[in-house]
Amino acid sequence: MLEGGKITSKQMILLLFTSRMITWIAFLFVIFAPPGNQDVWIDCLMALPLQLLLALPFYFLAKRFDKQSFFEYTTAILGKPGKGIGILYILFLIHMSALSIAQFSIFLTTVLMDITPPLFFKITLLILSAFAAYKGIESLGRFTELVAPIGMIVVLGVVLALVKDMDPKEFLPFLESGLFPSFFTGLYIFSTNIELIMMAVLLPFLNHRGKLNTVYIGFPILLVVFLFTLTATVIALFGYDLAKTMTFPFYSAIRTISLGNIIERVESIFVAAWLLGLYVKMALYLYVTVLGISQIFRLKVYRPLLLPLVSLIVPVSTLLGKNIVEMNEFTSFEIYPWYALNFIFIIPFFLLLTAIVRRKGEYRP
Amino acid sequence: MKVIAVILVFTVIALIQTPDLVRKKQWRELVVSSLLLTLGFILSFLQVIGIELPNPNKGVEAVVRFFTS
Repeated sequence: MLEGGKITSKQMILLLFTSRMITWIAFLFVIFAPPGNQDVWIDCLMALPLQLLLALPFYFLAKRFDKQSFFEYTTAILGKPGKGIGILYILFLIHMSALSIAQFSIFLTTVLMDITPPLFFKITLLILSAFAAYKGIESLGRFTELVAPIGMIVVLGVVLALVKDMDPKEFLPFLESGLFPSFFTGLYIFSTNIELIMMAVLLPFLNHRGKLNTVYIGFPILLVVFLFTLTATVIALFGYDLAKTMTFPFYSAIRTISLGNIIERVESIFVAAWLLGLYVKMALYLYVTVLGISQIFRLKVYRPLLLPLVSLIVPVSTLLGKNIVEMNEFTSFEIYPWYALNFIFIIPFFLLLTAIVRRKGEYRP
Repeated sequence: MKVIAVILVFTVIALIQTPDLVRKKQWRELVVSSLLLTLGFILSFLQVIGIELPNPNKGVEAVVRFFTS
């Protein structure tokens, strides 16, 4: 048995939510996506129905194979070639971990500590996260239950402190370029949501199997509510034209906080909360990757793989994160969705079709 | 100097990992972890001695642009 721990549905929702939210708080990519005017907050709401619809392959696969994780049922469905699919996903996860850690070090070196070498942040954070992943999923879940509310309170506090400076007129005119561009950006938001793969891997560790629906619906709702809050705050505060010139829109919003000339420069508190969330995110990524590798190669333990994986992620992330312009080009709506959608929609969809045709697993409603 | 540091770090990781796996006779684990470690070592070493490696993002971008345009 690789992992004997169990987590509750609440811990799992918070784990996935924290992991996704951290990137969006730092880089609010939605701002640059079409329709490219003040309607971008509609895109965030559009992401909810799309997510519920397009994540269905993962849902039905989890229903069919309720004791197995994603990496195990690919082999159960496809036989030997299933291992190839698994290795493809491992490479994708390593790429995404390296990208996240590169984004993190660029954010920190740009806004706070511009003399510290980025390698220092990468190595220290990854070693600490590897320790969290070493302790297993249960302690990670409990730790998230502690950390996620702190992050939420900080973000909500920031939004409340900014309410007096907001101008609702910035949202007008409403639906200037119709609803179709918003649909496309909803797809883009869905495609950034690679935590769905983590969900498919972690679902066997859910303590009550019936809570699958809670996770499936609760996670996107929480995510969309927060993303909507962030985007609406930035747009109401700066207006769209100013916001799209910023690299870190939400961080710039926090810097403008000033309550009666007493409470000012609160961004350090925000960055502290953000780092806690990032720690959870990297621990989750490392955990899922090593668990996947162990399940594909049928290893008995996953812990000895953590340090070698860290030693692989660090050089890859130095390759990816040379400068912020190149990285933002990759994560933009033109490139990224076509890459990530293969992994979070197309491959699971064909896996589900194959499972139905070959009558693998049994459907338990 | 940097080269020595990289070699030192990877040696330390290998020394932490390997004895335990050999003692418990977990050969599959040993093979997979040394594979990861070797890949990491090659990538770090090439970067440290100053060889420009291609950025994987560029490859993905090229493929996506080929299919979408």
